[in-house]
Amino acid sequence: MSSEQRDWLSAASDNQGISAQQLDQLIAEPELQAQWLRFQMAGAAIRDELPSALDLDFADRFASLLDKEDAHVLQVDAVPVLAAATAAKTSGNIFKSAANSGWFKTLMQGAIAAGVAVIAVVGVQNQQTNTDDALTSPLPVLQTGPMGNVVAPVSLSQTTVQTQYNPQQQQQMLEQQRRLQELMQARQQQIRLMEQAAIEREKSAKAEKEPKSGGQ
Amino acid sequence: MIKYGVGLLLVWLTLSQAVASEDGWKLVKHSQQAVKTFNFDVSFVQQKANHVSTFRWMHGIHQGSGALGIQTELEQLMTQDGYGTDTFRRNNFVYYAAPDAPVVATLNSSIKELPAILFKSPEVLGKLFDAVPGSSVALSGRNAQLVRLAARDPSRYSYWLWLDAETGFPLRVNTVNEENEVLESWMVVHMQLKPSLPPELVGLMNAQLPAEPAALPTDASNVAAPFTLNWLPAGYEIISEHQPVMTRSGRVMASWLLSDGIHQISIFVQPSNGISEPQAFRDGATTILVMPQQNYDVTVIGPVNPKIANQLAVAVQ
Repeated sequence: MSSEQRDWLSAASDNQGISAQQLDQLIAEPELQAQWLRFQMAGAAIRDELPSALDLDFADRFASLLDKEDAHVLQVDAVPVLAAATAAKTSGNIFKSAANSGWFKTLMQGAIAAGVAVIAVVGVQNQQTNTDDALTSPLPVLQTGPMGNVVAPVSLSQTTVQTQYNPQQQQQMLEQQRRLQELMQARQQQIRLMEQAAIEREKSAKAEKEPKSGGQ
Repeated sequence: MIKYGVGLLLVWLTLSQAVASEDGWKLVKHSQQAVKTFNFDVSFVQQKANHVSTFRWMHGIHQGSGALGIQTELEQLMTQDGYGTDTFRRNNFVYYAAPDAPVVATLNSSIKELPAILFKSPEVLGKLFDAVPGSSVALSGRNAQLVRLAARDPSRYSYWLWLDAETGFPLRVNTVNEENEVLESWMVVHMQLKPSLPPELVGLMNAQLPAEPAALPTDASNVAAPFTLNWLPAGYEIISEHQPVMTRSGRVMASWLLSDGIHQISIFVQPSNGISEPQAFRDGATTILVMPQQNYDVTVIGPVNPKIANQLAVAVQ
């Protein structure tokens, strides 16, 4: 184990963050895990958090107890199976004789047709639900500021972009958020000015009309 | 005999529905009068999915004495979280005062950042909604009466209003979708009705504010843009198109503003940003949809469900 590894393990034991790579190393190497355990124990001892009776071999002892346990084998009970088979045989005879009669055939055909129709309807409904899912499922929420602001800030901080994206994707997402922020502001401006625009349109329409009517 | 019975029942049902609707509109009207005529100092919160903003809203009527000799309606809206824009209204002028920026004046009969349904006439609202009175509940220690403004077109969001039983003042406005899921909530958390103009608004009476409204962007309705919008949602019409839009980065190649008299939908076309999949976001009751096309992106922003936003985005060609 390198001293560098020892350093970040020790820091992590003191509740400091570790990188994804370091976490992978910790998961992969038993030596690091043992060291991690020792650090944790040392920390707990310093903070006086150790239980009075320290049981370090619990997992091992439990494993050995399991080994000593008798193997339980399921017993197959033949009687109910035989009884069920006899019952099926009897009812089979009844159905066999009924199957040859006209009313039974018609009933079964009807039942099969109805079953197929039900499955078709349910299937189509499910399919329709699935296509709508993309549009109706809960949408991510855009981070905006209070409505009275001229600048209603979308949070542009790196923390809003998940670390699973590569830098280029992150940049693109930030750019997209910035664009949406600007469009939200443009929309706010449009709405603030729309009543005034309507008044001015009305005025100019009236002014255009007046000279014409004056000339007549 | 049975025929007559069913007929009478239908007539009775229709009449009772009409009476209920009339009662509902009466309550809405009462509430609208309250916000236009009372002197008040109110705090409200606006709750979206993961965001709560607090505002103070003051309103009063100056009765026409002193410096301003005519009756003047005064109103102020201030954000209570951090520094934001203060919004004032003096009759039909609305002023926006942002920090480190000159005051901008616009011609508006109401502050657009407040719920539009509190200011639009019942005649306009009645084209899109049915007013249905509901039960009474206690809200913020006051007795409140529920009125549901149920959208006639299921694609439009509905509103649930709780009005103070005593004064008619709106105490809560919920915007709900077709499944009655609350998308946005506007809630009064403190209310003070005053016998005269709130003292904070007295200064606004004499404040030196721009006399002329801000210049509008040049009218571009005749400009031929290479894009057309081939579909409109029920009840909406285009109120402006291809107005120059100021953005610091992306050029806006075309834009439309649609309105049904109460709500607005904005559509913007910009050069492609390299995204390959459509993206949808929600800001309270506002849907933001970005639809990438071959060389451009269409962005739809408005209080519509994502399905309608999608239909609008694909209607841009």
